[in-house]
Amino acid sequence: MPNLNRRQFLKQSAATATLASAAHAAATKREREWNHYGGDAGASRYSPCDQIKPGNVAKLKVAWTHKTGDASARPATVIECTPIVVDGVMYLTTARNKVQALEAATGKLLWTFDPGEAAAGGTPSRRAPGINRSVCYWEEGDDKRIFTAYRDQLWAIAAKTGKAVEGFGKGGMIDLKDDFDHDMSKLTFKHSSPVVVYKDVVITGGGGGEGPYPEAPGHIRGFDAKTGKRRWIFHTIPKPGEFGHDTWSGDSWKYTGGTNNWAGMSVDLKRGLVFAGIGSPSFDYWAGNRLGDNLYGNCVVALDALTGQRKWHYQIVHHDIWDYDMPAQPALITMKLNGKTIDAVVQPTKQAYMFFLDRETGKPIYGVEERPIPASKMPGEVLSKTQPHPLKPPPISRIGFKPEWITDISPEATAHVKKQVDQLEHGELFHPAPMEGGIIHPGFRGGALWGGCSFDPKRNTVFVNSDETTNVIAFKDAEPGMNVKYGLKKRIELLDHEGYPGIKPPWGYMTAIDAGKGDFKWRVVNGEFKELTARGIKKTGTPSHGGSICTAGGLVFMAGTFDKMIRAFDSETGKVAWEYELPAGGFATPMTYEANGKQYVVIAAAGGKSGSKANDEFIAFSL
Amino acid sequence: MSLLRFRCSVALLAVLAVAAQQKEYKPKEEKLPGEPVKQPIAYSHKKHVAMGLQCTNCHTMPGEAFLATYPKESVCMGCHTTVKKESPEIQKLAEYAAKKQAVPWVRVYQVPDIVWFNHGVHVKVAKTACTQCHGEVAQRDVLFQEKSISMQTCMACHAEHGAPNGCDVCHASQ
Repeated sequence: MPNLNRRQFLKQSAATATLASAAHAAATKREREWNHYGGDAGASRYSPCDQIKPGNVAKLKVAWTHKTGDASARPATVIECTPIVVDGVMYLTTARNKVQALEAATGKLLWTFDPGEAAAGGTPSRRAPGINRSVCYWEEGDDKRIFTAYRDQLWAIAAKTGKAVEGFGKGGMIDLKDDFDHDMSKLTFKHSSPVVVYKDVVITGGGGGEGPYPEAPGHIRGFDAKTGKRRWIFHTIPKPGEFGHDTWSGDSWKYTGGTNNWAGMSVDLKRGLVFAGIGSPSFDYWAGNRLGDNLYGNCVVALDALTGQRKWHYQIVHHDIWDYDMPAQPALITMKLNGKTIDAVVQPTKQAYMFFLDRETGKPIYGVEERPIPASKMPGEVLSKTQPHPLKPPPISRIGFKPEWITDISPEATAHVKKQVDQLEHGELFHPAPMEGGIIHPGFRGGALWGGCSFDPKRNTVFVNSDETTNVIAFKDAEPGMNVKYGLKKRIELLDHEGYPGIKPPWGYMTAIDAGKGDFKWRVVNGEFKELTARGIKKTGTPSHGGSICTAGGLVFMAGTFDKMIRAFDSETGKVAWEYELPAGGFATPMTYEANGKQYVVIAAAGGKSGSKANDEFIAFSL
Repeated sequence: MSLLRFRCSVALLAVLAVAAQQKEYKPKEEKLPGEPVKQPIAYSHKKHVAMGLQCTNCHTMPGEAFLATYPKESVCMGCHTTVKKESPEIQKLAEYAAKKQAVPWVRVYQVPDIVWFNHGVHVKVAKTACTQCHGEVAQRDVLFQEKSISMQTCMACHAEHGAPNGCDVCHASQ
């Protein structure tokens, strides 16, 4: 944190106030709400709301709470939802993936729609409800709808009444396994982030997992928002004759799945483009049966939102065997660099790189270098000779694994982890694990994950939280029914004897990136294990679920750490300006909005991850 | 993807490791056969099944049917108000029933709480025999874990029977 003298402080405060009030004055009522999962259609997670500022954030108090009423400890429910607010009404998904509408100013429940029960003919659903991180609002005249994805179903709900819209699909629902250009008779489909909409086209991602059993692919589709009829499909594993088909060996395009957009898409309303980060192809640890670069696996793709035609793609990992799928909504930002204004796409990654791409062309803004990686020792595996490394910004977590990074929080911890590390291969980023076992760092939670990033246009700054998780994998011969020759013998986190990360702290960060330089503006350790702090260990940070939002008021809000705190960071310095202990882990991205002239900040405090207490509350804070 | 995105082939050990990080949840490792489980009331499945009771007579699956529940004490007392009422074990049962307290039965099988295992779907829809996951309970006076309920076992069974093996079938979290 910089040391400011009084004059500098006043100057900075005045600048902040000017920026904030100008932003507020220019924003419409809807812009001061939170109309999309990512705040705006481009997922910048920025709000022009400025009532809450570094100078008064400490006065935040609970304005209302809402209990969704459907949490359970066994099975453990979670809520990863960021609500949206449109015209004074909040829409959210619950612990069992129901949709609820509330008065945004009071939290009063207006209606509940249960897709599981509706699909089961009015009886309780017996399926796991899956997860969905929000809903999508659409309107045309008086026709106002909420679209929600429930595992393999897309529902249209009347925004005013909470009833299924009869004219959409069958009884308000389309089965996402239909019209998929793939035999789905024995496969499952899931859609874990909200759909997006452009004009009258609802755009879906989702699809199958990443093996090693047979999985569905993750084709992206556009549906008529009124009828549910399919308008277009973009094959994320190209069919014969389509661009990129030749990046798949033999018939691998037929039996490979995955390659799905699971973290959500963003829309450029001006250009009519939809942007999607694509996941790894299946199987995501051994890929000797799908040789080649495997487009559009691990790509950012830009598609015409009305036709599904590809405008450009950029592959961030070639032929992935590290589970480094695109883990977050691409953020559409307008940044300033060297005196120019650039419309960009920012793709956070698990491997801790932030890719800044030109939104028109897909070309890297700060430059990317293809660097050689080692060959795999796994039978049948042929890796790409190189992988992309952005020249800027620096990685937001450590990359690769070095023995000198073994945890040092106690001699016992060091010894416990060293014993494991000594048995395992490790190296630079993209070091391939051999049959007997290897270390992958950043691990499968990143780096960055589905919380993505936020962007403050006035400050030209990107904010992103990141973890330092380390994974260990080892292989064995595949089991009957698997789609591959080798499955996993082991897939664990590298932990010490007490269960803490095996790498030297910090284990979680919040980072601000100056887009004008491609460098860190500030970086702070995010969260703590209080029992370790009590033992005299410097604040370690914790892994986090969910991401940040930023405001014209000069604050970055973030929960998601395992200490159950929600925090407000000063956008300029990273200093924690406010923190509050939630009743359960806030494993979601918060949101903010203005209702009846007052700014609120809302977070789902629902725990439920990793054995932590499951809860069902949304909590709203205001001054 | 996320910490709890349990892909196919992920060892149960992963669950243990993840859980350990939070220090709130530590499922025991499977050692088969397990030790006999001491219950607060000596209850013989063998004797009750021999009298004609079916598993689902006592272990109902209400509502969403994720859980196969324990019977209410009042259900047990439907017979034991008169049957073997002098038995010390039945007197314990009667005491719980009188106080309207649930008998603190000790679970023999328990999947991690992140697993959305639906008993109703398995038993009523897929017609899976209870013995598939719980072994020969009808032959036992005292229960012990005799069958694996690890993720690998579940997935192998799904593969064998053509049931789906996508992560979302059993896990909510991405």
